[in-house]
Amino acid sequence: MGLLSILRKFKTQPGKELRILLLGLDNAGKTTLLKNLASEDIAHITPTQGFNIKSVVSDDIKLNVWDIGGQRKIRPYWKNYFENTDVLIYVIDSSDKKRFEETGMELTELLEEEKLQGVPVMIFANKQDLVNAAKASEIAEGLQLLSIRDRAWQIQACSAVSGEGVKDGMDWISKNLKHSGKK
Amino acid sequence: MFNWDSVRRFAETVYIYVVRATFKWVLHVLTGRSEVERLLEAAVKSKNRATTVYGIENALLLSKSLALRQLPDSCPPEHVGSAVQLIVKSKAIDFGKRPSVSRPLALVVEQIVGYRRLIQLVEAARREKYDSIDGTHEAKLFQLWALLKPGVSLEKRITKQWQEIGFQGNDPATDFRGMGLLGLEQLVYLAHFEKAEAQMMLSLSHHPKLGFPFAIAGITMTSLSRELLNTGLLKNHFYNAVLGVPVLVDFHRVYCRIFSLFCAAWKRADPASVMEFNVVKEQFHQNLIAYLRKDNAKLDSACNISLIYDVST
Repeated sequence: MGLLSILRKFKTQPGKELRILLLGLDNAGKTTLLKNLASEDIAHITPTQGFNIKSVVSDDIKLNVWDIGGQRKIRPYWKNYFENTDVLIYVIDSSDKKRFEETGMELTELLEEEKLQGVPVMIFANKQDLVNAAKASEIAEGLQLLSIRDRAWQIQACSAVSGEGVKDGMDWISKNLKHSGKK
Repeated sequence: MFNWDSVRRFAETVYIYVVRATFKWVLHVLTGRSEVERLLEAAVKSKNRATTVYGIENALLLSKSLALRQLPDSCPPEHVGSAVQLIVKSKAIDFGKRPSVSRPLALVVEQIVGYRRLIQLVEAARREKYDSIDGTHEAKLFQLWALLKPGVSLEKRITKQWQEIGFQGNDPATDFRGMGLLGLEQLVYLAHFEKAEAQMMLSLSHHPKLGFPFAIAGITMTSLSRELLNTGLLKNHFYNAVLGVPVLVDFHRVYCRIFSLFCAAWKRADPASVMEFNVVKEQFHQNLIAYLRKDNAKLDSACNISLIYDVST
């Protein structure tokens, strides 16, 4: 798919620089998702220390995707990247059921952050290619996503490895930016 | 449509070919020796072996003979003997007059084909995924703990103690990812054969401000070393440092050197926090590439951070 083709969906917002923040626990698949978006090879990924960023510019729009490491020790630094976020992408390893509680708590804390108020959130139920992956609907229920009322949100089943579901998620993001009325 | 670009490229190729052939012919007439012979004789005088090995590699790759052109990529290290015979025959080296040339030429060919074999060995180790079911993988992981934390026992297999040696969470298995067993092998090699250095690096990784996760930094260095190997950037090092066929352990040594140099670069950068890791790593990567391009590049114990960061001097 690639970031460039995603950019085309945002063409109705000329002159804009969009900031997408990618968060989630370690080993959720954030960097794989980022590489998938950038049409890069995903075979040689290593754990992220600090952050990765990919930017694309097309015509009048710049899209910046920030992928921040997920290990517990660096989660306190997440808040340094909240400012001016247009969309939050939260990635969950759907096969790691032992850590659903931990990932749910991190997400709840993020949604309570003042600097992320009203920011649309796309939750990727990743690793659907694994046989033991939980369904997106089960995760939505377990994490009580239905109680989110202060922003646009969506959960999307996907596999960052195969790319399945990623495009649908990005479509949702482009539509919800338009409706958010942000300048 | 007329494509000027391809015409220009074609003209350049013809030009290079003609100039090269003429130049070689003139030298051949003057010295009575073939290109390969001249390069081998230069090797004896030169300090930087890489120049010679590169020269012979290029002479083979640009050769008129198809068999010689294909030799670097198709000859297994075990068949270097017959490869040498082939070169001798096509380049008309008379061993009767210069018997000293045969062994040096074999060593050079071993280096050229050995580098390619090393890439395959490294890829095979990388492709093997870490598997918690596999007893040998688990034993290696416990060995890493024992080497890095002598006298401290692990409470259980899944424990936050793993974070003390710089894994991300309670189970290291997920951290090896794209580097597979190679990442673990190299950490174990470092902890085993460079004990003092490994302990110094581990202690830096616990520094209140300069701290970073040791094990996953090591896995990142595996990734960096592998990339340098695959893109041919470690050729100067291997051609200078390892006579004959390089083996996996030679690559582990390079990894240890790179990881240790990175720690020095990290201290030198004096980062505000671990969030600057990738920024510092990228700068280090670029400087390392510039150093490795020099024909005297050699990642041995004499190579220090000022060599890498003050490339101009």
